[in-house]
Amino acid sequence: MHETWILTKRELRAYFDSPAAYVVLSVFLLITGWFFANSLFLDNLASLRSVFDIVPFIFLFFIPAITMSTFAEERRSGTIELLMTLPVKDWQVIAAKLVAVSILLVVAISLTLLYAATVATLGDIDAGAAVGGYIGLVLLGVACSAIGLFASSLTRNQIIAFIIGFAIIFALYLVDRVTVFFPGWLSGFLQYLGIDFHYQNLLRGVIDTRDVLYYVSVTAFFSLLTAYNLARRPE
Amino acid sequence: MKRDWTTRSSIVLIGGIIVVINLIGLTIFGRLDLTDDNVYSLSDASVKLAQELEDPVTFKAFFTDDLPAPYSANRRFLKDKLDDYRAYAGSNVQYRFIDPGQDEEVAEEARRFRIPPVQIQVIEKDNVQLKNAYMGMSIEYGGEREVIPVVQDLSTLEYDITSAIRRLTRDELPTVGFLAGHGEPNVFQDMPSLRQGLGRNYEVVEVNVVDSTLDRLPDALLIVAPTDTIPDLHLRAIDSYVMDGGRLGLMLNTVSADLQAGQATAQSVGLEPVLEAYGVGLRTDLVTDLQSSAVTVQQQSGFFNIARQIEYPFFPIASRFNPDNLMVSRLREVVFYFVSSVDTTATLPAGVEVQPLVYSTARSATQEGFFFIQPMMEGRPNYSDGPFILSAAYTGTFPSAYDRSRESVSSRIVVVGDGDFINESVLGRIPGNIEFGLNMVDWLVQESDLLTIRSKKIEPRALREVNENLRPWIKYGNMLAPALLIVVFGLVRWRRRDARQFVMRDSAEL
Repeated sequence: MHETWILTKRELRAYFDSPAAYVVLSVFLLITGWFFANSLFLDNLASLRSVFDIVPFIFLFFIPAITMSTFAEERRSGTIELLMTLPVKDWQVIAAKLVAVSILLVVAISLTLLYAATVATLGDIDAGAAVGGYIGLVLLGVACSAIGLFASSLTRNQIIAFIIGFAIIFALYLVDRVTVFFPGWLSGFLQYLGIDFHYQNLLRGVIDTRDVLYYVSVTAFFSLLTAYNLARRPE
Repeated sequence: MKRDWTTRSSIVLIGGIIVVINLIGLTIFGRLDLTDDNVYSLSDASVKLAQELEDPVTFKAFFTDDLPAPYSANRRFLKDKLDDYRAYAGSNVQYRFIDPGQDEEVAEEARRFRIPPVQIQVIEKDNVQLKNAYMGMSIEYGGEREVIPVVQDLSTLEYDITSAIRRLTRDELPTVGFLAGHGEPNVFQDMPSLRQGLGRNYEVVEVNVVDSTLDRLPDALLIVAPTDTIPDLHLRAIDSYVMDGGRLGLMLNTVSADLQAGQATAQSVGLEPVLEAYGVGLRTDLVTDLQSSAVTVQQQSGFFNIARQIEYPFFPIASRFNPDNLMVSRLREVVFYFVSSVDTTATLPAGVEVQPLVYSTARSATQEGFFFIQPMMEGRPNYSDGPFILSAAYTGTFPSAYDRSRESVSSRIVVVGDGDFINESVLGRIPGNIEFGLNMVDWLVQESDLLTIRSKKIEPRALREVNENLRPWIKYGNMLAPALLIVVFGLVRWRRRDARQFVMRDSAEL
């Protein structure tokens, strides 16, 4: 555990020492802020729906962008050799990188709490739905990060890692919207696979173990694939 | 890095375990409802009902398997709801989903239960096709059956289920009385469809006044279009019925109109003082509306008599209903036959609240005092005075009309400015009108805990009024502040790091 935390801190320091994290974070916050603030008085509703609706879309680009370098860059620069010689297990490396990305995400998401505070001051917000939405965002973000890490572990080229990560998340995003094009017996399965379907359930303010289990499973599954990948192609 | 468990077989094994856990998770799950009203949990009325079941209730959901996306949510929602009921009722709630598409016998059963197939859009072989699907449910208890033909409106699903179970488990049906003896139409002869609809859930009786009291005390008393003056003793009987918590449905004609003769005159049956005491105001006017039904008139044209259909503004078709009252929120059209407007502007007695139910269109007007009701009349009034309220619901504690010190227990009154709209001998069978009548009785008789399920919905919450000058600050503050915060944090961090490096360089030089 201790090793994981040391590695997490190393990752985090790397993020916040480079300007890239600030650029990505501020772009993320500017976009969500723009969508939230513009519709606030237009809709005149005490709800964070505009935020919760747009953030998954931003995640689609944002998460592959912050995860693309995780393994690909280590490979390209050769620092993965250094990692390999360290007395840590590969799951600790993966966990550390996932935790670091998740912390970055939580920082980004928690800065949007300002919107929640604004809405709560201006009106009677349904706190349950807001809490459900934030839990959904974090679960969705962490699951997408695991996918991004996996994509990054496949290649030494960051751009390719970005595209693969984006493609997988996008596919999971679409899968429950295209069920009509598939035979009926598949639709239930495809819907369950859909990353957005479970998010929509959480957004209502109902924490369902099935939805939480889905996100935990996706995170675990892709982390597993990442571990497999690293073991297969250590370079 | 040490390679330990990442062999191919272990990957497959762990992947398999994840799949299995998810499959188990689909059947064993819990939910935590964080919403303020617990919108997605059963309300107390349903929980109590489920816990008090003495015999098993069997739900049979006639659902087509593998419904495509928007409809599959209905199935999950229904299943979750039934699971909720089962969680409280234990083995007294049993349900199963069956597909009428797979089995002719099941399809036949669905037909017998009057569960219709509904058409849905599916894409098959690159073509959009309409397919028949079943989304209905039957609820059985002690040999009796209730049916929800189509599970579609998820917001009212719990209400539908709970009220169906209540109807099934009730020992004694509530009664609906129709006041008789003052020239009212006969419910058994003139309102067969309404009577039939009511008969499913209520005992329908005629109520007469005997020795200054009602001969029966129904759960709801409907006074439909009396034409003779109601004697004072009878009025006192009605008043005392309301004081004891009786519920009143008033469908009254304040103007008596004769279409054949082309005449209309104000008409009073003596109810005014009672209504006035309750705060119920019914004007002596007729509402004319450009959205109206047609009548056939004979017209002389040369040697010929020609029958012609013309729109007759005295038969307004109301299509605007109060969306907040479930009695009318799901109605689409109600056709009236000479309707008067309801006056909701009068001061109400303390403890009484009024809610408009049905409106005429904006393109409507009223006539008062002197009525021209000929279909072919010249010089139409200016149809821009509307909308007028044609029906309203009153709730609360009504003061007695005879004993000023007396106040009723909590009760309900509905008033409609037309006594003929449910009379099939006058208007024929109009489905929307009958539905309005049925809903009215449901609403009148309903116990309040059931209504909490009905009123439960996800309402948009508006923001408080914000000063115009303050708005841009709030807007741009929210838009920019978080990003600025990040930038400032980055700058501070960068400066501190820079300073640290500077110090280090300095010390190296020394």
